[in-house]
Amino acid sequence: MVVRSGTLRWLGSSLVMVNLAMLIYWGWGTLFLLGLGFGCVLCAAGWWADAIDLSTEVPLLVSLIGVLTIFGNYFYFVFTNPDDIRAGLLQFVGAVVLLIIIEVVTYSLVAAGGSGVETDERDRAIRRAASRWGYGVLVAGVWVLIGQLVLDVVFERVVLGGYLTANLLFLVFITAELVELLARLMYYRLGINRA
Amino acid sequence: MSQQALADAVGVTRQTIIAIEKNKYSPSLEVAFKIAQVFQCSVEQVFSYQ
Repeated sequence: MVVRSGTLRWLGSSLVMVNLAMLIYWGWGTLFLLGLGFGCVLCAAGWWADAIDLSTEVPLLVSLIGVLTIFGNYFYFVFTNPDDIRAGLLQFVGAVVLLIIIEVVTYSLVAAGGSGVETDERDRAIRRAASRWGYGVLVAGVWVLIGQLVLDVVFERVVLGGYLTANLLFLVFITAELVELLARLMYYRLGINRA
Repeated sequence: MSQQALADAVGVTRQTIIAIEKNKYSPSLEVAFKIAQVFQCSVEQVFSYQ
């Protein structure tokens, strides 16, 4: 990449310091946590620039932290305010837009770095292996939800409403995505032969 | 020969060459034969089964 490791370290540590100060001053905030996470990623990429594949592992790390923070905040809001559907939908739209912006910026930066996002047989093998983990979690989650719905019908009760059930299903999708991202990172770090 | 030169000759990324060297990835037969071809030797001389 064109970006030097010193610049990455400087950018990352500045981001960490600024966001940490804002987090301490203003308290909990998704944006500050996001900034903190990205700062740590940039800092780590700067320190281990020779060992980390900047074009594949950094976007994965950014996606992982982005999905975890943004949708973690969304689900926290939804499950603590199950009656406020309108605000929940607004939070959902905001989360999706924010995630799209972060992904676009990250991949643009990687593309501008000059290395290009090349994929070869190892990347495809890692993607396939990680997909199996994500698929397993997705299937398990969907079956648990189906079981819950069947129990509701059998015992003629309503434990979860439609809004919460839909969000639980969405939580299963997001968890599967997180597991897949984590598995890909693990395979890149540990190697596909051992992991 | 540099890792990048070998990667370009074989048609994979430099990270894949690094992973093969560190025994973190077993290449496909096609890539294994291409690597052997680049070094002008047989596959057995480059790779061994453990």
